[in-house]
Amino acid sequence: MKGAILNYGVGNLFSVKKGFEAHSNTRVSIIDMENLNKSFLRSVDFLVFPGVGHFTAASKKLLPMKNLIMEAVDEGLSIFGICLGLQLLGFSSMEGAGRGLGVFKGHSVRFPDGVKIPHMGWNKVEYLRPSKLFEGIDSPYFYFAHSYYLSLDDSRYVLGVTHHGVSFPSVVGKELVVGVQFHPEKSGDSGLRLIKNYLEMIKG
Amino acid sequence: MLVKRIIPCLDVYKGRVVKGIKFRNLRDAGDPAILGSVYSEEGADELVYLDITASSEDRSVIVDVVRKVAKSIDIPFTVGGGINSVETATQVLTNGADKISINTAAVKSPGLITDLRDIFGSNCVVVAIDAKRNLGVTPSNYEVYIYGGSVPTGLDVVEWAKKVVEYGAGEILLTSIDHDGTKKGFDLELTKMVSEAVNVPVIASGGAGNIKHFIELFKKTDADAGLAASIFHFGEVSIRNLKEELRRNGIPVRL
Repeated sequence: MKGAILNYGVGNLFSVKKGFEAHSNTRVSIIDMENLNKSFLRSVDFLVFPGVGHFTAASKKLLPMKNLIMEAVDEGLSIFGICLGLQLLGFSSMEGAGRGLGVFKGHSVRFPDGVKIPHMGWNKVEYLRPSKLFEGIDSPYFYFAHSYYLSLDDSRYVLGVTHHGVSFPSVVGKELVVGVQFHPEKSGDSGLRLIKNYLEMIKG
Repeated sequence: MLVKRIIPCLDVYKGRVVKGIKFRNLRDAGDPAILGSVYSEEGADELVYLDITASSEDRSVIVDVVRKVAKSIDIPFTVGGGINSVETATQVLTNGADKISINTAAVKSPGLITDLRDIFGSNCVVVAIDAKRNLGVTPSNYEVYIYGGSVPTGLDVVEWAKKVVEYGAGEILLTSIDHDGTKKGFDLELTKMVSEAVNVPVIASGGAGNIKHFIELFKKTDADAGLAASIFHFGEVSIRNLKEELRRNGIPVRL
């Protein structure tokens, strides 16, 4: 499998790359937004939207490529969004101005007052719908680090939820587009297993 | 619900873990990456690496350490020590660290907290506060110290904690100078005050000597995590045992 991580922010992309490359025959490159083009997108099986940076800054870099990416998705390209990367799959965010891809109808909102923000640490994902993604994960605890979450209009696409003051979607999926609010690359064996499941799922 | 986190802290001097760590069957007990993966396998929720190398010429060494650690573990880790600018923070974060921790630099130029927040997000910005009980000196009776606990600042710990959150800190690493190294337990009064005053996660540090101290910490304060060094390094307490005991006492942990 061949994938690429979109470089739209500053932060730790190293661990994301490692998390995917831990699985046999998977190669992942890191691509700067300005180098993205049709032939590159045709050469990869999946695109990772990583969880680094700020919504507005990332949106600015991502939006010029929206049509290009969505056309590739129509042709069978898969997307895996992590944390902010998941939020960029919605329409917009309370974090700041800018638009997401709108693959999922929804808006990212801040956690309510009265809970600790950021939601930081290990929390449980409750499986709402059966998914290949959850296969063989005995301990569904994952590492989260975020202040906003994507609230979906259509609950059909919510595969798993997590509780922190409110119940919020922590795993979403629609055909070949998957998003997780936690960092699987930082979630020990459970996270690595989820990435493996994802790779097997899109292999078909 | 978030589980309570257990965080071993490793002091790094010129690329090697110091203060001595004794694991059985471990040939090289000073390698930060090997030790990190041992703790990770034992069930640590996160790691903190504190670079205590004094000179700034040795920056490249810590970057090298960060890269090696990131290669060998799949849990989050924070790097602190010597980070005093956006540049030094970028170095460690782009090489595989998940969070950076700043202490003296935050007191000297609080705007740095905001700059880091704006670039990396508050999730990556930990402010470490070293607190010492000085009756009557500040309203909370706890004063902020910098330069490795050697220089008093006149700042009140609770007020400073609220300030750093306003500036953009996403987490506070709170160390009791009085309890550090004593093994008499965490400073519960200090931890309670700070964790109730802010709405970001608080990591309590200093004084952990046995399992009971962690149970106490999580039962009596709002701390999100307990950090310790020597009791883990010398195998006095194994992380797995500690977490099993915490669970037995009704404290949510990841096992």
